[in-house]
Amino acid sequence: MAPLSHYLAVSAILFVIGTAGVLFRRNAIIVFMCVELMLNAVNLTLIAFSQFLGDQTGQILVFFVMTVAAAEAAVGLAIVIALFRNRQTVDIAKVNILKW
Amino acid sequence: MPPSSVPDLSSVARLVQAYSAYSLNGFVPEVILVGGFLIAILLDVFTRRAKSKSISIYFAIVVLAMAGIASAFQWQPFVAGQPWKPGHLIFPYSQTLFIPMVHESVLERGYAMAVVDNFSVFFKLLISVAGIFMLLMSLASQELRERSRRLGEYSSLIIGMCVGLYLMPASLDLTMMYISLELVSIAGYILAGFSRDTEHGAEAALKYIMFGALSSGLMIYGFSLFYGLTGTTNIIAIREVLALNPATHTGANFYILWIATILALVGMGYKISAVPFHFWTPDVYEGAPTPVTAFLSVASKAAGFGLLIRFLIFVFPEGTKTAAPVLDWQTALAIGSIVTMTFGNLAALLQTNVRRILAYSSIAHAGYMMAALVVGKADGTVAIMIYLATYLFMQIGVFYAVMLIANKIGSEEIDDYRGLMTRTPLVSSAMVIFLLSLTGIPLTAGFIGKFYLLAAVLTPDAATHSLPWLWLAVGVIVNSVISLYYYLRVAAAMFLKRPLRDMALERAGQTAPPLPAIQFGVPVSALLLALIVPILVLGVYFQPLVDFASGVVRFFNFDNIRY
Repeated sequence: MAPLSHYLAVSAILFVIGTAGVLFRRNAIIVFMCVELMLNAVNLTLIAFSQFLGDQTGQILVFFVMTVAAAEAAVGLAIVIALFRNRQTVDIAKVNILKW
Repeated sequence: MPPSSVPDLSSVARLVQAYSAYSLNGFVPEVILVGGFLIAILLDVFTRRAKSKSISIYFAIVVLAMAGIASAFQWQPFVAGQPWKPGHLIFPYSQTLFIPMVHESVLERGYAMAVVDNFSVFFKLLISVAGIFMLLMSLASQELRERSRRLGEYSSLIIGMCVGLYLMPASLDLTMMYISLELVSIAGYILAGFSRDTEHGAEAALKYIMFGALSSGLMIYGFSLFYGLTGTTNIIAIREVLALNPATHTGANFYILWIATILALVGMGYKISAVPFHFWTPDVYEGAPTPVTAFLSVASKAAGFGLLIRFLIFVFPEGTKTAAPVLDWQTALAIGSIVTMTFGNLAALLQTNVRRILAYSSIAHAGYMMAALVVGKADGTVAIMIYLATYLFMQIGVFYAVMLIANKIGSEEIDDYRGLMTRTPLVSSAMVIFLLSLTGIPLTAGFIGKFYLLAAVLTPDAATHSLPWLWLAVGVIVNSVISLYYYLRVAAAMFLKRPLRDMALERAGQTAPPLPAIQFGVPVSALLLALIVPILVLGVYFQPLVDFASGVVRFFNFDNIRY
């Protein structure tokens, strides 16, 4: 079996990819996909720790994270649709009538 | 683990059974809210006509009032000389905990999802009051009246949001912190985009959910690192493991602990809109319906501070200087506090839209409260609670005044506020009182909040008799002076400046007929007075509030936090 550090490294890389995607991608739908990637990286970390520690708490937390991710994606896509109806675009860079 | 300390299964089962009955007693306000949420959805189905939809708002007011009363009953009066009692625990657990279990039983140590102590009761009351004011405000809102077909979902979402807000300051477990925070956030995303048919509304919701999803993702990654370091998700157990096991905070693990702490603070900092997680604030405050803005800026910020206090003070009870296992989070937070208040105030100076000014000023207020959080301990916590209680009235009040004016003149630009004093003296004077209170002028509630906050920041160090946070206090004072400029700019526009239209006509050589007066009904004025009176009363008679807040932290037992 692969040691704990391998799982942690993979999940850390996934997490960084997800975070970078949220910060730098301009398409709102891709941004939400990157958020899912971040949350899945978290799940992988939790499962790896849970297996390593022989403790179930982390696995329980994973279920909650998955539920929240689903709810967040549902609301997020609904908001993207509402925005698309107004603007005919899902490009974040073009969504800036509200200035800083 | 020696076998003698492992209780046999039947006794564990008995304990859990006895305790879950016990813990549901503490869960009554949340049960009322959840029941109310379900009934509100049904109510929405059974009211057909758009006109009768506003009944769901009245229903939500009743539910919040009942939940508030139920949480008031959970208050445990402090009797001097009596031993300190822990609160009710909600969903205690013991079986899955992976820590070296030491002699005392699990139940006495507070390994539970949430706790009902006076601290959480204080926040529940605060949130109920804010929610009731916000719903009363919604009745007068033009934005909501135009969308009255969807009022049922509006009020049920607010009740649902309150469940999360109630649980946030009560959480004792990272799982509960995450769930309650997300409950608040997801309801908040929908409410922020309630006017989704306008460009501003949809854009506000998108910005809110993007920053929200990012910061909650960072936060839960931090939580997973905490879990990996300590093997538990309970914040009290985390503290004990950090104290008992030096391996968790030495060597490379020290840096991992720092990363985990900072990532966890990102999610909470986003809720209280601290720099640099504030980007959503101005856009959401401008794009969301005004009552929602008021509610987010008060209730969600209050619950965020409750969560932060619980997390920081429970996991890292004292600074590095005294206790071995913790980080020097106080200096990091102090820098964050200064940056937050300075940025909020400087950015507010540049705005021309009143709502955006208030959004940046709410960032600055978060900075002030973070300054008290730096001090931690009893003084800082009392100061934050007093500040939040006073902040509730002035912030909801000022947004209410902005909403009333926007209903009539259809604008929130500072130039359109010129000469409003002659047109609507009541709302203009009320607005000035709220703005003065936000600045912290004496005889208003805002002064009391600032006073206790500065007193807490300027507490001398017990050992060295020096003032460790003098520079922070200076920062708060300088920032309060800066804030005076933009608050009074709004007041001056209403009281001293003449409308632009009149000036233009005069230059053309014509005499301008005065702009028509703006009339408001009795209920609207009554609510305005209901917000002004507490501000003026708390400005002179604040002892009950101070006693109330001090009673909360007595139960916290700061010298020796344990459950």
